[in-house]
Amino acid sequence: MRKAFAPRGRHARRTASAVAAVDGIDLALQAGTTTALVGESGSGKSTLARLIVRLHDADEGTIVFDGQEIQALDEKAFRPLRRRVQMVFQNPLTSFDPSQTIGASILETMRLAPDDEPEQERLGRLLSEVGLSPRFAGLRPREMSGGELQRAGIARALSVRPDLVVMDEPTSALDMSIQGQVLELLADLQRRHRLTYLLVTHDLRAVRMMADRVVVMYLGQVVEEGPTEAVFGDPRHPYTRGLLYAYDLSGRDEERDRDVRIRGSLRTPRPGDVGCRLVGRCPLSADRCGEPQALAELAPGHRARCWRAAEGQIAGDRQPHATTDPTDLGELT
Amino acid sequence: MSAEPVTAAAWTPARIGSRLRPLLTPYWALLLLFALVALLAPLIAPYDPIQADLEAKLLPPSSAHLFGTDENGMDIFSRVLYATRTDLVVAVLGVALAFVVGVPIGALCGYLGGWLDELFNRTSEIVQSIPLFLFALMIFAALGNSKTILVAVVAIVNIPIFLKLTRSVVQPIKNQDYIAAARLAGQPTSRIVLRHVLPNTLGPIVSQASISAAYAIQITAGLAFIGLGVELPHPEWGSMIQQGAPLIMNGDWWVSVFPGLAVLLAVVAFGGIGRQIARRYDR
Amino acid sequence: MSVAQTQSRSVLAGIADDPLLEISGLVVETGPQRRPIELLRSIELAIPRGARVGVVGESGSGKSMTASAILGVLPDGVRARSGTIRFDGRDLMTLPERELRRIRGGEISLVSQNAVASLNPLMTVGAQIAKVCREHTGVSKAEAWARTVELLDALGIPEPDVRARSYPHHFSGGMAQRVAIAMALICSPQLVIADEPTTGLDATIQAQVLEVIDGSVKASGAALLLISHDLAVVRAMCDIVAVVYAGSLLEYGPADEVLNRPLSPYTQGLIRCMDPPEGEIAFIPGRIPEPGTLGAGCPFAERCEQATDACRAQQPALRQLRPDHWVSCHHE
Repeated sequence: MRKAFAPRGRHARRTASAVAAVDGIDLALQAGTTTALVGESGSGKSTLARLIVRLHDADEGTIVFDGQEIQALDEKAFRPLRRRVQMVFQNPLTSFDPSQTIGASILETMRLAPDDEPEQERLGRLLSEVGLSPRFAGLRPREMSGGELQRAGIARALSVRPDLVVMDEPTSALDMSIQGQVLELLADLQRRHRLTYLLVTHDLRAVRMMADRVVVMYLGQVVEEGPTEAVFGDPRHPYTRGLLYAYDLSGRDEERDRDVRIRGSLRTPRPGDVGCRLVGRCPLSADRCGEPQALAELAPGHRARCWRAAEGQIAGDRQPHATTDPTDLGELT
Repeated sequence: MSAEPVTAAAWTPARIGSRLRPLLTPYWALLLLFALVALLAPLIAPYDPIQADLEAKLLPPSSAHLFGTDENGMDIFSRVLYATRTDLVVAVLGVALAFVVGVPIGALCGYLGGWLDELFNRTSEIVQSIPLFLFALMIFAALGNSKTILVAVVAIVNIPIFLKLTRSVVQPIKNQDYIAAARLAGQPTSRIVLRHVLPNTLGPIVSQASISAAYAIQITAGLAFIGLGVELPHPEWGSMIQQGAPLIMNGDWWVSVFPGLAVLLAVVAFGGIGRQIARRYDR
Repeated sequence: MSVAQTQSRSVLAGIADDPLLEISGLVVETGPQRRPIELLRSIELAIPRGARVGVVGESGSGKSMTASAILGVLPDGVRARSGTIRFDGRDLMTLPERELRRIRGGEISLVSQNAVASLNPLMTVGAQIAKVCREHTGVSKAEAWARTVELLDALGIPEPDVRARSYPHHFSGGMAQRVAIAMALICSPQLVIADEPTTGLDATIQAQVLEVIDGSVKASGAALLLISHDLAVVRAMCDIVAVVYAGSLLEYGPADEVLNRPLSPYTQGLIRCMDPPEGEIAFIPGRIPEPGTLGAGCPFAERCEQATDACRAQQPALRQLRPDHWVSCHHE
């Protein structure tokens, strides 16, 4: 069963300056796979995640879920579909109502998809499946640890047997040694229930461990996408290269630093800007970067939005040299 | 551990106990005392509060008249006791009314925003910008001088307070993840506000209720002082203070002082409870 | 006096002649006097002059509490019950507040997570930094300002004289951290404590900030105490690694030694989480125990694959199993 899920969302958050948080995204998710949305703050990945679960509405575009257009549906019409798409949140401490027990919160979601099994038994089974004792149902959020709450959040999302689970930074608030516990659980559940995951994260380690495909976002646009091994092993877009380099804290050397490092900090694009949004931070900036850049297919399923990548300048052993002054740090705010 | 029954129940004896323990403070005892007095006034009061006895005018406190008598020979102790019914009832009813109207509207304004929010914000501001006594005068002049109108005045004056407070505590909550989770569970807005938003904001609101009750007593007393609200000779702390005010110069201090003490104690009790609740929710 | 002095040396003192900072047997507790809860359990640490020591541990392990204890800024209700903190020969635990105030900012400074929150929003950054400089060194206003601008420039802030007149909220995350670093370095302290300096920052900004810390500490010759839950950050920045768990020091030694030849099962676990073998999702089962719930044995015993009854019965002492490499573990 192939599930096409293609939002083209253009969601303007501040209409005065008409800056799109998510700008012209095309995204397709295959059933049973894990796709990772990767980017830093301001990339729009969280906004996109929330558009997909319809917590917000896009200004333009369509979202097709299993053959059905869902963007145009109002809340009442969409409600029956809610059980097929659920979300796991980033901050375990705020993802549960502090005035309720965990059990009550999970039941609330679970009732979207009632079945024959008695509620309490079903609740107990769900908790056991995520590695929590059934007695956790009677606890309040403040009586549990971050890792335990995150497991409860997964139990809640899975309580309705969804087809798609969107996870917004599911492990970022957890210690390194606990992150693996949650990721292991997610992988196990995916195998058992044939779930489709959309993993939104800035943690590249988690992506490496879990994702089949990676979509790299920067300031609302997709800059590179493809199979994980391809994107991480042979990154074609300067931003992807810069991101991987930033993560590899111990792999510094002067030459790579000059040619790969992303400089400065985020600059919000002005309404008139049509070119690449990495200009000014990219070590390979040139005049041509001011023109609109299209996502070009470089290899089957592997695309990047950069003219240099399209021309094969950035691939494998070929490492172009920096064109911008390394001391140019770009704007501060 | 696996043998324990699966339960989502939250109320264990331990939990209930820890919730009730804070009630054992002096403030609650005082409130309880006032409530009992209000209830049992007819049984406790030695005299009829509106029975004049011109033979016994302005007697100082004695064993026959614990708080003395006023200009009409009425026993002040009995009057203070009966007045508890008036002042307390007006305060509690007025605040309850303000709560029931102001909190849900404030919650919706805070959660939904938009034109609803604008509308009620501006209305609240208009009401709040009118000086209290002027406002009361206008209402009484238009609708007559009665206890019911008094309750209405107290309520109307407090509605904007509850509205704005609720709104301001609701706003930071609406973007929390657990609210998003409730939306993902297909919950309608009304249920979300009732079940998820309000329970998590009740702390500051309830403590405001206590403070408003204290304020309401002062309003009642103050209005009675200028002759509005409660008509003489019905006992009411404020009017009793007013009656006794000119007498202090003559040395007949008891006519004002005892009702004054009653007001003080009531305000202290309500205020103290309000602060206590606020402290608990400040964590 | 001299007997007490010898006894108050840390077992780790052998790592260098005359270490700059030595913590020995530090116990920090909270809660009621009769039944206190220990947050730091007889912890040890040593920082040689000019060295970079990384303290790594999960949240709740007590690493930030250690920094607070050094600076003498433990939160309300938390107290240091015993132990010594020897800084440059003086025991910080015995110094009066007046002395500590002089040391804070002047000889030991702090860069914390989310620097913007630690800056005064009502003063320009230049004014704040210059003020710290004047207070500790007594130089003139003009001189302090000049040094401030010079330092901001060295830390890579463009147009430093203009930016010095800006307010903290005008700076983005990475730049704000540089400002915080400037504040920490302006008085040329002997020790800079960086507590999770890059947590919460984007990866590309994190790399920048770490480089700035690296360069500036190297240039000034100060020692660095870097606290982080991220072993990768510690590996990239530090020459000595200290692994802390539930308020105790489990392992200590040169980074190369500890990270390539770890002796403690906990360290081994952390390393596996940092660099999981191909295709494997690595984690340490269980969770860190709450303060006050620990028994007599090794704090890591309940999560340790190699735990034996001996481990659960008695906490292992900190022993030097290899040259300059200490570990608290019953296994060899």
